[in-house]
Amino acid sequence: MSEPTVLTPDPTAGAVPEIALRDVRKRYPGGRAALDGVSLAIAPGELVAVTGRSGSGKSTLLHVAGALDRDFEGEVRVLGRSLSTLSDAEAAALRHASIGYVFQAFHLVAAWTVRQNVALPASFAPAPVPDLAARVDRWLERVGLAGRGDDLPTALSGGQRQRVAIARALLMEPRILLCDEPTGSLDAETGASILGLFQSLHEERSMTVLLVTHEARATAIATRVLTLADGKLVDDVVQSRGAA
Amino acid sequence: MRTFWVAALGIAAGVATLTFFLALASGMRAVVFGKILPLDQVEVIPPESSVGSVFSMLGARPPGIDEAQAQALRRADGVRLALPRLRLAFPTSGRGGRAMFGRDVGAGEIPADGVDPSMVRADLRAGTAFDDPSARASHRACATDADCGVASGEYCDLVALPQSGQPRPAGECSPPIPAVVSPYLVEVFNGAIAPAHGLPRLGEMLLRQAEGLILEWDLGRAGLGAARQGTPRRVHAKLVGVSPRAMDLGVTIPMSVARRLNREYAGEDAATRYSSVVVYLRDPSWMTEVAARVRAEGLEVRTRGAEQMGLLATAVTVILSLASVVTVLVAALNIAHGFAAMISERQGELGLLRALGATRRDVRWLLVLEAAAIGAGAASLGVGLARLGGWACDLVARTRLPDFPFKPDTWFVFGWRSVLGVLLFGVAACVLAALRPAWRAAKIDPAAALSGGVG
Repeated sequence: MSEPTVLTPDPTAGAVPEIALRDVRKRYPGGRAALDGVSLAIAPGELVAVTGRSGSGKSTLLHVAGALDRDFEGEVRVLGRSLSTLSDAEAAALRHASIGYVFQAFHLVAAWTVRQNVALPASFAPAPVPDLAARVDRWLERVGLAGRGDDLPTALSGGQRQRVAIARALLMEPRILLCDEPTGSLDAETGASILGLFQSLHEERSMTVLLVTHEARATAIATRVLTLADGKLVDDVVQSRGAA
Repeated sequence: MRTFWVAALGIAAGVATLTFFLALASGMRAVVFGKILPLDQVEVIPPESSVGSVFSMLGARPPGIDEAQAQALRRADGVRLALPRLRLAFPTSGRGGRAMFGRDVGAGEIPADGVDPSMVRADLRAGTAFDDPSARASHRACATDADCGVASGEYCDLVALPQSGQPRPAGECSPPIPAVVSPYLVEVFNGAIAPAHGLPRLGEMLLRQAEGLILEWDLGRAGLGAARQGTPRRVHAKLVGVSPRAMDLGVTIPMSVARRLNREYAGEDAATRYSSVVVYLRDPSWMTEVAARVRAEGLEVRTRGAEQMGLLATAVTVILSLASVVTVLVAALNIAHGFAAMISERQGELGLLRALGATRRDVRWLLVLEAAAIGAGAASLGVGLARLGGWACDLVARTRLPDFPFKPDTWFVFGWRSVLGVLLFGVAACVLAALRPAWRAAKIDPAAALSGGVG
């Protein structure tokens, strides 16, 4: 796996990449490479799975692509904007308006209700979000949690908590959804249902999804699979769903 | 988190002690300067009045304040009222109270002064006469009080003291001299004299009974000597009320009576030159200006130690408040430590906020506002504890402490300004303590905070 089998395929030739990395390098504090000259382009509407062994740089790639980590060498452009040139406020605005995040650990506020957790991103909107309550309920219904808005996260199962996190990520209707091991804390059956939810959301909203995973079943729903090893992009395969 | 909440309780404790001491100081000031040493009035006295007796011995005109000087004081800026007092300038002794106490209570020397009736009239019952009784006297000839009749309310005013073995001197019937005493004297009596002599305290009910109490005064003769002129004789005085404008430690009678008696026993100067003028200020802030005007008139201000008491009270307040402030600041340092620990625990949450679109500024503000809310809560708790402590102290004082002069109903005054100030101080201490941790929290790497590792 020292050489990529397929280099930067372009399934939507001619489209401006939603996310583009050019020769991106980043090192861990100890000096080891987290990303080592990664270049890639992700077109609008792709559902890309990023795989690799633990420590291969998957999550770092996600953080860099999501403007969470801007301490890197090279160039990263998201929605056409170079992250290196953005101020902190501009990067925050980009994350708020255009990027949704789903994490393995859910990161829900335990003392808040489900509805409050989902509504959290609206707190950082530059202007009040119209019909926020209705929007929250709509997303809760969409992820299968209608009627659970007043529950606390502690009253929910792991799968339900991840659904809350997905609803929160999608509240502002971002163009890009970044998911870091979203099924890593779930059992197989629950994980499958969550992956099913991702797939249906991707199909109905045509959003760009970057899914970091080390599970084969997760790569199966992807339209493209990237493989990292020691911070390098070693494999980049375009596939039809269910191929993995 | 435990450290953090302990620190918040520290803020509450500091605020509680600060509020408590400030309220105690305010309460004490209210008693001292409201009742004992009022700051809105000043007594103007002639210069070097303490050596007045020397002037007298040398045959010089004794110090005093004439009517022109009193008028000048009335016209001075910042003066609301200027009321002259005329001290009885001859020896007087007296006794009385048998009807109330079962035995007479006497005094070898009775200080007394005369005031304009308008000065005390508002403090007396409606219809109570406070004027020179000679104008209302029947002047019927008499030898004993019985000759005047009990119903008439008059007594037999003899021209001289009766001597044993001598014919009873002539007399004529007259109503007693109306007299008022001060609440200060009542407090001194209740707190010191009554307990020492086994007499009942003069509560509200006994005070009402005391009104009408007849006192016998020997004019021109007292324990320390006799008057230089006039014939010593015995008159009746009738206690008609209690007034804060009465002489503190003595008895106050109508000005016309004091003038007449001084003329009779001490001469014309003593009858026309006032012993002092009580100047009532528009508010205490006029004190300095009025004092300067008084000195310009060649007179002096008797401060009665109010300024010194004020300084002492301020010094004690400052010391106790500083101790409380130190408590709050130490608690604030703990808050800073607790906040740093809390932020370390909340890395994931803060990283999430950044991922959801929060700027560094948003994170900073969020934490500062949290600190303000915690400070407000802790400070409110502190104020509540202080009020509870004040209530408990008042209860103990009411039920356990013996009575003493000017014992207040409450020792604490929780003024809204000081409470608000202390609340703001608590909030400010918490916010200041949180500033550095909040700045550091805003700089955390959201990616590292969210992942807690590498992928």
